[in-house]
Amino acid sequence: MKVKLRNPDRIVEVSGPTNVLALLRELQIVPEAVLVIRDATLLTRDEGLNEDDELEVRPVLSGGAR
Amino acid sequence: MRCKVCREHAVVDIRRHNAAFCQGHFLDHISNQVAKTIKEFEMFGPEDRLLVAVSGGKDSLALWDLLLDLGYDATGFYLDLGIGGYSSRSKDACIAFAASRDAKLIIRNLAEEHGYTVPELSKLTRRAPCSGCGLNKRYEFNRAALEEGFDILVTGHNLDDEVATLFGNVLHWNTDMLARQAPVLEERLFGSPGSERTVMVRKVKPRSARPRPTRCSRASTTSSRSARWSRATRSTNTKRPSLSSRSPRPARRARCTSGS
Repeated sequence: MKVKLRNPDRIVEVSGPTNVLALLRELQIVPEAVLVIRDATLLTRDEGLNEDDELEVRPVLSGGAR
Repeated sequence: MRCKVCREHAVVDIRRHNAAFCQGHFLDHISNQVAKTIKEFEMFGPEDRLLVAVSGGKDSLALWDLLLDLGYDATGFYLDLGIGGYSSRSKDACIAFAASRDAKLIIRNLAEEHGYTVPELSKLTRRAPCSGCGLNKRYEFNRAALEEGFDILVTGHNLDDEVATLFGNVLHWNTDMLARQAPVLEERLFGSPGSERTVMVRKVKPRSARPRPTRCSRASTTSSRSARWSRATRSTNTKRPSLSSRSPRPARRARCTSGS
């Protein structure tokens, strides 16, 4: 699956994780610090993932619109 | 996960509440949290005129949106800091939001008021932009509230902001600032008794505190958290009566939850 990460903006290919929590663990990202988005919809930690998914992991930050 | 309220598919899970919500009930949850915090800390009532400082970002615009939904008399205030494209984009976001809610927005420009922008001030003082930016915003927010006759200044600071400020003040030994970090900063008066005038309007941060859980055994106390906080942090003089003796909160408008 393709995962878009921020700061800096980049896209990484990840294979294997079957749900959001497993993906974040593989990317070594704290789940409470980010939103995971698929097709403009937020995903909870237990949401299942497919190999052809395109995801965005967006940090939750104050101080701006992005 | 399923929504705690309607059992439909959830899009947000909040671990500290041990709960997940669909889109519509998440918005309801946030609105309820803000309403409870306002009431618990006796921040303001429906008769107060609120000036909401907005940056164009999600935190302050979301708070303004919630306050309008809750029926409060909330006017937005945007200060153009002159930070290139960032300021023009954030101002456009505020104008578009105000138009979408048919709400009043006051805009002031730092360069027009004082003759300099934040980047220019940073060069002049040879200090980081943040120091001059924060000081100017606090001064101009308060000045606008006084000049335009507002009772309360509201900012969109959230708990994350408070934690960052707390760590910063601890690391830099800003003990005076530590004492002033609270969800409610009372108005400050100046002058002899009987002829005082307000020099700092009351400032509140409805997203910077977590309301007490509904079923907490301490919830029945008659002393508000705001009153106890003021006693604990050496309250400044204030002429403000308790909100509990004033008008009740406005009825909450119905919120569409069809997004779930």
